[in-house]
Amino acid sequence: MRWEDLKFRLSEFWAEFKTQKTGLLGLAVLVVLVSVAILAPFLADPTTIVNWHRIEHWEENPRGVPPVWINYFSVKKRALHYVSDPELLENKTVEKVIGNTTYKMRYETWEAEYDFTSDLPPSGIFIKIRVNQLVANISNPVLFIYFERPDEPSELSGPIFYTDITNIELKVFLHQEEQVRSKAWFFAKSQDPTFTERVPDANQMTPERTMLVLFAKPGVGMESEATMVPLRGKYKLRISIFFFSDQEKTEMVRVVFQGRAYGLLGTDTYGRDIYAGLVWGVWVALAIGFLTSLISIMIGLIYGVTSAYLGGKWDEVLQRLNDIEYSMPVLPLLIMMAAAWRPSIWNIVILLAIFSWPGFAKIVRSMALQIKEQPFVEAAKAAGASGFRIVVRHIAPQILPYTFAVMALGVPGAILTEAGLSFLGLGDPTIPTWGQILHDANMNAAAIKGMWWWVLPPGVAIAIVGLTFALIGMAMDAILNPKMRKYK
Amino acid sequence: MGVSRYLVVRSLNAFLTLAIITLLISWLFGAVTDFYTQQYITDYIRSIANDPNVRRQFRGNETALREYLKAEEQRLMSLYGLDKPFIYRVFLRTWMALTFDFGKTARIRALDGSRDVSKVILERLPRTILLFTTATIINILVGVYLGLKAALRAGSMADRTVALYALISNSVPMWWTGMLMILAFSYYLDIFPSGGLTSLPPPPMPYLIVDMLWHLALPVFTVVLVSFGGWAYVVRNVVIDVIHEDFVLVARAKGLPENIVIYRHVLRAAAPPIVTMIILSLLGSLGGAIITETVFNYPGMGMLYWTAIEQNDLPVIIGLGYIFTFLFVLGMLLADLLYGFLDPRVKVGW
Repeated sequence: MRWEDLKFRLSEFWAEFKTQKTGLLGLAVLVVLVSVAILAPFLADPTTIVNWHRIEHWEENPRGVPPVWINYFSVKKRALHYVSDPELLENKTVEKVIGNTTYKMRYETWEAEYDFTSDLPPSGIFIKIRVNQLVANISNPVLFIYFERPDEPSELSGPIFYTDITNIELKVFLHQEEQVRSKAWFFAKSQDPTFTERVPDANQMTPERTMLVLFAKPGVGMESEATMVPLRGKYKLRISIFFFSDQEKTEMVRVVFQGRAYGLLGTDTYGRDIYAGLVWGVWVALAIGFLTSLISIMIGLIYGVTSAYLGGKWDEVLQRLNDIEYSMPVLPLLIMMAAAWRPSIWNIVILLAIFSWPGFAKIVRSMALQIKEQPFVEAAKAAGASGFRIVVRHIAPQILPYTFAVMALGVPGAILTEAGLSFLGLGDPTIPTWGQILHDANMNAAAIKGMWWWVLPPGVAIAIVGLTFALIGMAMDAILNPKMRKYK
Repeated sequence: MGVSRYLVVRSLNAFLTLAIITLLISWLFGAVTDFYTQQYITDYIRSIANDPNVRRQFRGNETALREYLKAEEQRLMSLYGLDKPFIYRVFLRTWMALTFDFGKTARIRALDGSRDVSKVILERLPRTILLFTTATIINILVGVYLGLKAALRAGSMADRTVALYALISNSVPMWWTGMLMILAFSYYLDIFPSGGLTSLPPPPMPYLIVDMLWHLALPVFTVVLVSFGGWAYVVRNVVIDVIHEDFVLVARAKGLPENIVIYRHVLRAAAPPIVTMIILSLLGSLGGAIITETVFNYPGMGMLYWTAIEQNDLPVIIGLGYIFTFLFVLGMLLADLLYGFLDPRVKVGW
């Protein structure tokens, strides 16, 4: 086929495609999807793709909280995520003489301020401290954390938490620490006479209850979202670190008041930003669907045309092979292969393609059988063209336009199958896919716990991509396959 | 003559297909299976070495015990063909798989503690069949009814709704719909349990059936919700083809009541392709359906997949692969045979 012919046929095709409203809708959505895929590094954190399965990358984020915009629809406003910038208040050196030796000690005090204005408090407080080094044979630095409420109750006056710094990097999830939980429990007990009926001992003080108590107005029912009354105002978190060596000093102090709502689509129970996973998933899904379809179409086209062209015994053999392949259960076989070999995403694409061509090859064969008998093939043969040349240059291009429709229609199946594999935990662990997000959701019983922001978006995304290609494919089919026009 | 010949040829063909796929699986996963068989033998030898009964039998006679263990190991090695070349094992396993012996599991055990893959799978097969027969019956009823209605009013609002619904439900993963169902009916409305086969502990007998149905409701509803649209659409297309044929015109011209025209003439002629298409789409949706079980914690074969993957129990996964291949080939055969049975023209061809 010459270039002019192709151009002519394309413009003709486009003129017809323009009349298909659903096809145009599909095309528009596809353009949006492709732009999201291309713009993914700008729409979401570009490191998402490498960090998705590194849980420590997401530790700063609140865990399993709904999206921010939920505040527009709920009466009680949830606290937003706040990364504070602690300032150094004091840096003093004290000397003390005991007997003959002089003990030198230096302490730093850092303060992080948090303005609590919403109805529900943050879901956690995360503190990360890094010191430059730990000198051997000298006592480790000691850390004290003070939590100052606007009303300054005496029960919370001392340090709420203290520990030795035994590692260069120290991470404290304040709401999970036993010291904090028991302090909060004593505080609530002193304010609320009925408190011990509901929370008999400090072990039952969950991190969730702890945070609610810490930010509640003293009174009855401080430990539950429904009954707590927020104490708004400025909260201060003071961090004092005592060093016993001159060479030790802090390099970084970071305090994060983890929101009770986060980002555009909330977080999962590992603190991962679902929005970021979703955006990067577009790219992966499109690549999987498109490549699988392309490869399987190529195999099917060549196989079908070859079978028809060779004819006779070879045709029979190839068709029997096709029948066998056609009666293979795709997903169970894929699960087997994925479980045994743990393939990368590209190998999954190849496996998917290998299983999805037989139906198409049959159609191609029947089309090629008709084309084969036409005079121009005979002419090519007479001119001395080889069998390969006739198949590739003369028969295959005639069928090519039809393949585009089949290709578009094959995309949803590929995406659904890959999502199924990922959902079972057999996806490529190096990149995030929608199926994997749903796998994690199912693992953590997200649906049973009502975490809709984790369950809904990936499935909707899969459905949208599938629908888009189905619409485009159907529109193309209607144009390229005249049999379909009958009932329009 | 024609019918039986068709039956035999088609069945032989199906069996040959099954044998070839089984051979292919045995060959592809030969090395992996070897590893697990070896592991099973080692486990087994260790367990009899620690068995007090065996120990008592040998009364501290260490050499005799060691010899006995060695002989036992040798026996198992030759039983599973591990002392023979690879290609022998490939054929051995093909034969074993065709006789429903899928080897031993790596970790998962059947209820009686046995490690037979086929036993583990057969324990769960009835549950899966219960779930999908129920769903399929509802699907056929709803699908055929809606498809007929849509075909009779082709181009109407109702017809277009069916088409749109089929299109959307086709692009949605069935298992994800299951998660939505749990979210809606078990978290927000709290009228159905989120999963499982029965309540724990299971109630006594007369209530047990009600309890099981109550647990079955949501999975069945999910399967139906996602597949009936596609089925209705298939029925619609086939029926529209038939409605335009001359004999329908004749039947109407004779003055037959519309109901008789539709249910006796149109549906009879449309039945063969409908049956085939429904079986094929049932097989096609099998994949999504087995994953749906895992969402509902429904302990069928699909859930077994999840467990086997979690526990890295490859023999079970391969065994399930054999079973599904078998079901698939059987389904294809059934589709062909039913077509031949329903459409007399096919028999003539043979």
